Amino acid sequence: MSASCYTTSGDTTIARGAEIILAANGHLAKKGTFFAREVEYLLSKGYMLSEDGLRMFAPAK
Amino acid sequence: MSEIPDALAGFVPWLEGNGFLRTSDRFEPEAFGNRLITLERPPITVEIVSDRGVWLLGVGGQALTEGTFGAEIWRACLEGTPVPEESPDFAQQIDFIKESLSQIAAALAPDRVGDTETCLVARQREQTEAYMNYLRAGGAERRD
Repeated sequence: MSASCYTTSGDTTIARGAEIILAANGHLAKKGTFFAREVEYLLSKGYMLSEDGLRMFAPAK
Repeated sequence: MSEIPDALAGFVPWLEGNGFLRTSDRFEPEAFGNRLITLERPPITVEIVSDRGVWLLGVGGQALTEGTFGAEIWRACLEGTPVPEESPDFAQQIDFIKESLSQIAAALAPDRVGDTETCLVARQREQTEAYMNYLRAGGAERRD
């Protein structure tokens, strides 16, 4: 998944607690982009960005 | 596909007239109509991107590993100033890039590119974190 989290399949991915591979460095997501919004959406759901910014880990259940 | 803004459309021929080579121009109708125009004049790369209808202008270099950075990020590093809260419009970004090409090229020289990228990444992270905080505070329409 390249972080298209607003979709039903994206929310299903979140509900499963799956690790998410990002298409670009989430720490460097550019202001105003959908990518930045998607990363922030995942953060709001408890996901954590990896140090290299390329993966997001689900919150512990 | 969303039309390229006039300011950006006019910047492409300016770059081509100043030694930049258009090395790619990809339009992806199946991927939100995204478009990526890349122009290069080593050591500098300029990218003009439409990401789901949002147009972005970025400057990078063949020696950078983290892609391109906005004009305001470059300005912060070249001038040692903070990244502004308000992003400059395309005309301001283009003016800065035109005026700063020689400084950008110098910052991408082999003996300086490491420090340059460290600064660009640090300033970009600050801007990204500030934007995330803005979104978190409900500062822009959210869909959750």
